[in-house]
Amino acid sequence: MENQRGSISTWQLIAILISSMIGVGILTLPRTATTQMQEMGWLGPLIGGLIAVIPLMSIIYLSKQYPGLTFVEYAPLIFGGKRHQTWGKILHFPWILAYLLFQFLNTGMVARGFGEVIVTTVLLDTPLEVIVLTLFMIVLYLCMHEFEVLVRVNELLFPIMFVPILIIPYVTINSASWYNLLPLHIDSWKGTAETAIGTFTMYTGFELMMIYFGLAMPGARIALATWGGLSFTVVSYVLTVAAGIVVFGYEELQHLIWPTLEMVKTAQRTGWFLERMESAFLTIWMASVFTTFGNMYYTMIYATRLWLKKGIRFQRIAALVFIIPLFYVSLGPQNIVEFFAYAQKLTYFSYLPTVLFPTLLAVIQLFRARGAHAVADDKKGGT
Amino acid sequence: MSQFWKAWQKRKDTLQEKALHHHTDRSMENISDIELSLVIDENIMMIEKGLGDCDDLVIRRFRDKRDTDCAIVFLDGMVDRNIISEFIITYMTNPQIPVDLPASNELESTDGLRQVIRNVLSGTAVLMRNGESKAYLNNTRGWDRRSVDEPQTESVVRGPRDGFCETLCVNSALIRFRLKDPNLRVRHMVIGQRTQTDIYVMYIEGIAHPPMVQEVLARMEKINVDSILESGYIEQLIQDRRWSPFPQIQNTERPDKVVANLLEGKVGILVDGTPFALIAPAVFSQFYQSPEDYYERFYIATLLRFIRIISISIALLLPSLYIAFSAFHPEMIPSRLVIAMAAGRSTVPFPSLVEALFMELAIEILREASVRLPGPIGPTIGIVGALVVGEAAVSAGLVSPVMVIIVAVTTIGSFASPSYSAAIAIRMLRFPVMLLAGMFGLYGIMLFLIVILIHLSSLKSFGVPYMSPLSPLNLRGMKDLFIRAPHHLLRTRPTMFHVHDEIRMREDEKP
Repeated sequence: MENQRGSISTWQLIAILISSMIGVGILTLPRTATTQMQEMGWLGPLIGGLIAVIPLMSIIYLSKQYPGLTFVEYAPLIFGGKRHQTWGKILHFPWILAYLLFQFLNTGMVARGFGEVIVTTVLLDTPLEVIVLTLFMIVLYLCMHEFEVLVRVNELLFPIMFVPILIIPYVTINSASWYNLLPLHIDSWKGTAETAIGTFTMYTGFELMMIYFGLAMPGARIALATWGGLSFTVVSYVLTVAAGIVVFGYEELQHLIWPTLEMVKTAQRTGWFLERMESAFLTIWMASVFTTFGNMYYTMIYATRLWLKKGIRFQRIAALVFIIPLFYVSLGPQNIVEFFAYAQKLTYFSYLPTVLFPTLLAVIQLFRARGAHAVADDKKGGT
Repeated sequence: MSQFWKAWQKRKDTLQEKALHHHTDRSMENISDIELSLVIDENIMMIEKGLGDCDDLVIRRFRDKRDTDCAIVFLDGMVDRNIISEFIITYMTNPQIPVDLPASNELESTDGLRQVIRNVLSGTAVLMRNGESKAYLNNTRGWDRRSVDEPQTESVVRGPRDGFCETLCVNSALIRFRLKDPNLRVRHMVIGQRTQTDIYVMYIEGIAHPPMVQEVLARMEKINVDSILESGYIEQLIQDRRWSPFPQIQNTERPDKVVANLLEGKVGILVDGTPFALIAPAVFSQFYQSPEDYYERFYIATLLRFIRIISISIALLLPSLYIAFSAFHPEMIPSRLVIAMAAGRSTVPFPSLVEALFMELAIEILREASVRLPGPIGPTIGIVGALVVGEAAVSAGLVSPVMVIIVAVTTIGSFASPSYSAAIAIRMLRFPVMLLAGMFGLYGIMLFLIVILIHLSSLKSFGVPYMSPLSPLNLRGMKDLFIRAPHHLLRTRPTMFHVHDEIRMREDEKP
């Protein structure tokens, strides 16, 4: 296991980051972004992306301070310092637990969300449980392998991430009415802030990099990967929301459960031999959803494995064991309305492990580094 | 004293007797290595016993120039009799020739019985002289062999026409003849306790990654099986993942392909008795790359690669796409086509999954039968197949006409892959996809593709990831992956095999 660490290249980091962020959320994004901001909804993901900048900066800083270490390894060092290692172990415990819990719950929610899409649009007669079960089975199969397999799967499925950037503008351009984007005016700043906070959930997934930066190749350009990945994601989100507004207008968007899917449905001239695209779109998009919740679940299991310093066998058994409660989590909400409510609550919870945790670590580390510098300077002065 | 001596002699004899009979239920490794004695009759008796008095063992006794008793032992049919009579017996008996030893191109001597028996079994004529406790091994191997022929499984339009045959030395010569590099290394191995199959492991020193070569050799040394009848035995015993449906070692009948791969830093394995050589490590691109790609102009080579990729995808996915579209997503098919399809299917009593499975099964049966049929009645199966699978099944209302087209295209598509063993992996995987498509439509197909993708990402062949250079991404390797860049741009070897000498073409001067 140890010899595989330090094998992820910059390109693979970009692939993981983007694949983890872009997922099932893009199907509802045009609606959630425009509820309050109306025709200016495309600004929502942009500001939401700005929120993600702070924790991402912290993560980069931490990874540069502790190269080759993952957060489960450096968190106790930062909390405790060199002198109080026991305190470090005690203090980092609830944070890591929160992190793992969030990955766990988010996996369930993403799988459920995608299962809902499938059973309401494509496979009308198939029970939701079966879809969720099949999704979990492929994730389980993924968890049977070492992390480099996860990295390569992300890398191979990465071209699918270009679908929203390339296909969605192409299919919508025919039915676009550009006046829907006007006027360029923000009604309420409160609404803007709320939208940004709400759409921030679309960016969760970046916190997985707290593991994968630690496994990156020495010399991998972490900052480039982060900012490249983030800008790519922001651009695809803004494009998707803008396309939604252009096609439907914000009033109509409020009545569509999966506006992005409806957008694909409006495409008339899909050209060559397919009459309608939405089934094909959903099928292809499934790979992207898979990389999102597959990465989350895998990272949760893998982080636990690193945390407890176990081997691949522990990972396999843990993956199998945790699938069972996960099944209950994802089928917990009784209907789609309840599901959206759960997802909203999870968004608020997500700030704890994804924003607060890395920022807190970075701040403590900053002080520690300053202190260390001061001590070093003193010593220099002394001699 | 003499009694004691006799008893000692007797004990020695019984021990020897025991040792000789000991091996009869075991293989070569366990033949006790008794030293040859000075008495020729004793040696002959030992060889006869060692081989269990086989009737094809020929023992020719004669007296040489010095009137010593001599004997030649060989197996009938495995030797060139002319060599024995002209260059061994004549040389030894004709007093005008002033030499004591036969004139054979390879002459070794040994004093161990195991060595003698092994050599007799591989077609050597063993010469023994009374009063010498050693035997001379003359290379007289010469059995009927198939001549160098055009490869059956990998024909090309442009390119060399010679393929490997069943004889190891001919095969290695075919490689040497193309690659006159003094750095070409050939390592000889004998694997198979009972078959004692000769194997050559070939690589180019200075290009191939030494740890990888070591790994190949080490894995081959670990093989402990009684028989190697074909290179497939070795392939399946040394591959990384034994449960995978994908071939992790390439096989080929073409010497030019072996040479090209040796030059990319891979290791070639030639096995005696089969025209199929192995190339390790192998990556996914073997599914659609052919040596011909490098012989033709690069535009057409690139186009052909894309055509092969498309045909492999068709062979894997077309029947399941048909099932998914007709059973789950009819709204995706253009309206006119869907009406035509519905009209065709109106008489078909089965769901599309059953229809597709039925047809695919029929075509697999036809294919298998046509391989087994003797040549002259081979075309019959084509006619019967075309009638039954094509016309009759449609007019009987068992299948729809579209299904016939799909089965035909799928079958043809699976033949477009240049590698037969890669193509059969695809052929086999078609059936689980069809079942999943029958259960979940397009969603099921995607499920399956993701599982395959995970599996492919986890595969490694001798340390080289199976999906490289696509993942891990290697831009230099991409020049020769989907497209085949022109030769003047392929100035370096692909780096994914950790080659040492990377430069293929030093400087490129335009003509």
